[in-house]
Amino acid sequence: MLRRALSTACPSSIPRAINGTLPYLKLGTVPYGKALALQRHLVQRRHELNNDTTSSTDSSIRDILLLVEHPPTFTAGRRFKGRSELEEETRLKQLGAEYYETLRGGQITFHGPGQLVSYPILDIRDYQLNVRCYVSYLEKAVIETCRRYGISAKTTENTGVWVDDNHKIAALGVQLQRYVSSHGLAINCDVDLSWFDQIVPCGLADKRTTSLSDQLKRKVTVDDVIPEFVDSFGVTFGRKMVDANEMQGGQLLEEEIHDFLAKNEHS
Amino acid sequence: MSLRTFTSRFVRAYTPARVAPFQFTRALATKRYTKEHEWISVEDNVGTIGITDYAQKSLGDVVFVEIPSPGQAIQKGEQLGAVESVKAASDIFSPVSGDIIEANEALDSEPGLINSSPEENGWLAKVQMNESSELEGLLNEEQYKTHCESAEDH
Repeated sequence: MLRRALSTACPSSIPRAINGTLPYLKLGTVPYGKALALQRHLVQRRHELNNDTTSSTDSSIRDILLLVEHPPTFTAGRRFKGRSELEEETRLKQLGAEYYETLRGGQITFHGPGQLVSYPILDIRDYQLNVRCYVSYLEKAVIETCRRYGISAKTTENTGVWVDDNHKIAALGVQLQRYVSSHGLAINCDVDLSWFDQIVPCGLADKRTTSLSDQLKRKVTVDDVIPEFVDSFGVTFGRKMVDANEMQGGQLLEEEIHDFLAKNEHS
Repeated sequence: MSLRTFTSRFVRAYTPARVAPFQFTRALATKRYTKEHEWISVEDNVGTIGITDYAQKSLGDVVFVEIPSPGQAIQKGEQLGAVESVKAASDIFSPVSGDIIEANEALDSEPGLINSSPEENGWLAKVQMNESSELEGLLNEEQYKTHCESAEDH
């Protein structure tokens, strides 16, 4: 499988042939810090599954696509780690939002109610994708989601997904630890766009942020978009998407995740 | 930025100045690889660590490199740094245990060295190794090449 990853071009046939299942789990609104801790837990779990060569045929769920919404939160990408300006952080917090430095790629962004945030925790090598192609596939999954709403979205020289050269509808930023992914993407459904006026999203001045609702001039909620996004993700990555609750081992994992969320704060 | 520069300057004061002529270094160095595409070149128990050409190709253009602070101890398998390509930050793990004695500060201003010279000028850090036996678990050049080429069947 690494031979494909070695080539400079990304495997391009989309829809990809369906090869296996990928469970998804809707978690509703989760504070950002808890979601960070959960991702750390699931990445570690995924590494343990990778290292455990004795049970390759067991039925435990390996990959998972988390679907969440966050309370208002500004997050900065990895290059800002330890370099956030206290004044700026305080200003953003006074707006009623949380602020986190993260280990993902990308710069500063906003998460909040009305935005679908998706965190795929998977080993990209299983999808014959290298790092560059993985990001490109996430973009393709968002573009496919938009297409289903009649919106022609695209990538530009700036990352993220755009409806035209100046309006961004989705942001991306991922972390890879030994090819296991965390963080992911955020699609604006009916998020209050004025939050984005407080920052320079992804370091691009003069660009604006839009949402599905803003584009369609009607309310499109996160719950509306979830099935379309999940299906688009499956088509793009070549997996049959299954609600984790309906998979063998899925309820166990869901219980583990809910227990985890009940106990843990960001540490 | 300024804090890290300050720290590394401070630490550099007691970093041993032991730079051998380049050709000489190459001749004596033992180079090993991890399956996750890190390389380590070892001479006199000092390992210079970076990511391979294969790895940089799979990342695309590198826009930021997180380098470690010299003076810290590191265990095999712990995070040594990270490379950020377009919207993706990939962690780099140390293939050996020891003390970080130097980091490649050129990467602060020129992260593209990872792309243009991944296995020479784009090195990430130098580690004074505690356990030379850790090298035995790594791949030699032949094995690494095979690892990159094969693998469709695993």
